[in-house]
Amino acid sequence: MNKELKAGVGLSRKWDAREAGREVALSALEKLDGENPKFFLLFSTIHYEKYGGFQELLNGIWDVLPEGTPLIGGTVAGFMNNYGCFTRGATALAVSYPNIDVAIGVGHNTKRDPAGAVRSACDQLREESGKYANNFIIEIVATAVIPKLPRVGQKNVILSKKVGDTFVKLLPAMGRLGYGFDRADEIIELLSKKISDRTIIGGCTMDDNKFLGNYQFIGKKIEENSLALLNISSDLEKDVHTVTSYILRGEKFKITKISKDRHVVREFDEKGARTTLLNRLNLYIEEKEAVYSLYKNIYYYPLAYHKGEVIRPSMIGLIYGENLIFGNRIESDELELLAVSVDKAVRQIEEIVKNLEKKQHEFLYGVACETYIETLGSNVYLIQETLNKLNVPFVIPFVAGESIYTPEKGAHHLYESIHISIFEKPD
Amino acid sequence: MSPDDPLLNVLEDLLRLDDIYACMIARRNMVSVIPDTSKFNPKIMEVWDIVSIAMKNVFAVIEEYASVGLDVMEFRLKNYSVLFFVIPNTDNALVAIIPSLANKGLIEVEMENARRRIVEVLDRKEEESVKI
Repeated sequence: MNKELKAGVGLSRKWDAREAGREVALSALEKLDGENPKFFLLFSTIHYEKYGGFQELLNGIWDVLPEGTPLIGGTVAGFMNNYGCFTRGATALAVSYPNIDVAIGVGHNTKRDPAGAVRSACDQLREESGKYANNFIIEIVATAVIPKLPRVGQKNVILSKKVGDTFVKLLPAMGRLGYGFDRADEIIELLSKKISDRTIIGGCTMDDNKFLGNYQFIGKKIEENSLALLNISSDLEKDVHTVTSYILRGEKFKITKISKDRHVVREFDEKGARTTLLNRLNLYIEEKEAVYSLYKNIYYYPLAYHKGEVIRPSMIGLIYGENLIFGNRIESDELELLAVSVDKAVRQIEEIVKNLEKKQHEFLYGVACETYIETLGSNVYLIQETLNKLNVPFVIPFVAGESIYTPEKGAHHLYESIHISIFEKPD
Repeated sequence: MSPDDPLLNVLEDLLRLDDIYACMIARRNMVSVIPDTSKFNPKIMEVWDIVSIAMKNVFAVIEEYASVGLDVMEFRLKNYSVLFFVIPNTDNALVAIIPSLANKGLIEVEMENARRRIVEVLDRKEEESVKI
C-alpha cells in the first residue's frame, strides 16, 4: 500500500439521486489514485428526497464505493468545499492513508433517549478502538423537527395562547415520536463524559431550513433520529479552531417562568415571553403556513446565556402562544440579546488561514452554522475563498447546530459558530 | 435559441429549485434568455405586469452603476422578491422572482453559482469568436 495520504473531495450537482451518488463517489475516489478510502463522509441537500430519494443516492454511492468502506453523513442546508459553496447537490470527503484505523458507532432514538443512543454508539467504538495515539471523532446527529400537531400540521408559530399552551403540553410526547428538540446539547455532554480523551466535532443534520425532516447516512442505511460517530485513530496531528464572533448587545431578559426541562421559556419579567421579546425587539411575527417565516426574522436576533466563560447562543425553534421554545436547554435565568459579526468571523478565519498556511496539511473537515448562509447569502463565498487559500482538500457542511468537545475546553453545543480541524502528517 | 443553449440550461437548472418562481437573463427593455414560461410558477402571473414595469426601472439603475461595481439588487413587491445578480462587465443581470418568505440566503448561493456559470459560458463564447 502506498504510504502517502490521499484525500479527495467529491461533488455532484446532478438532480437524479442515483446519478448524483455515483458522480460524487467517483469524483472523490479519483483523487485517491486507485487506493481504497479508509473512510467516506457524505453530505447532501434535502432535494434528493424529491429526485429519487436518499436510498437511491446511497445506492449510487455504493455502485462505486468499495464494499465495507466506513461511511457516515447526512442531509445539510448546504456545504462548501474546494469547488465552491452549494445549497443544492452532494459532496464527499474520502481519505486513504495506511496509518488510520476507523471505527463507527451508531445510536438510535436520540430525541427519546439520548443517553441510550450515546451508550450504544460509544460501546461500538470501544469494541473497534484503533491502535494509534491520536483520536478524533466526527459526530453526526439529527436536528429538531417541527412537531406534527393534530389538525394543525407542522407549524412553528401559533399565536393563540390557549392553543399554544395546549400544544406545549404535547411536546414531551412528540419527542417520543421523533419530533421536537434534537437534544444535541445533552448528547455532546454525555459523549464528553464517555470519551473524555479526544476531540469531537459535531453537526446536526437538517433540511433546507424548514425543519420538516432530516436524515443521517450510515453505511448503506438512511436513518432518522440517530447519532453517528466516526472515530479516526491515526498518527496524524490536528489543529482545531473555533470561530465564534458573538457580540453581546446589553439587552437582557430576566426569565421568571421556564419549563422543567428548560426548553420552554414562558415568562420574562413575569409577563408573557413572546409579547415581551417581540415588543422589546420591535419585531412582528405572523402565523403563516410557511414555516420558515419565523426563522427569517429570528436568526437576526439570537439570544444567549453564559455558561462559565462561554457564551451559549440559543435559537428559538417554535413560538406556541406566549411560550418561546428553544432548541437547546437554557441553563441560566437570564438571556441576553446577541449579535453575530460576520465581518469579525471572516477576519478570524483569515487569521487562522494565515497561521496555517505556513504548514503542509493533508485535509480539512469542519462544520458551520446554517445561519452563515442565511445571513451572508452569496457572500458566504468570502469564507470559502479564504479557506481555499490553504490548498488542501476540504468539506464543511452547513448544519443546524454545532458541537465541539476538547479535553481542554470542555463540551459545548453552539449555534452561529464554525469549527474546523485540519490534519497533517507527523514530522 | 436552441434547447442546448448553455445559458438556457443554467436557467432551467435554477428554475427547478422550489422557491425560484421565474428566472431569466435580461437587460433594460430586453429579455436576453428566458426559459419556457410555462415552467414558471403560475402564482407570479398575478404580479407579472407590475413586476415587468418595476424591472425596467431597476435596469435603469443597473445600466448606470454596473460599470462601477453594482453587484446585486433586490426589490420586494407584494408577496414576492425580485433578485438581480449583475453579470460583470455587462448591463445584463440574472433575474429571479422568489416568494418573499423564502430562505433568501440559500437561494442567493445558487444564484451566485448560476451567475458564475453564465460568466464561464460568455467567456467561452468570446474566446471562440476571437479564434474565428
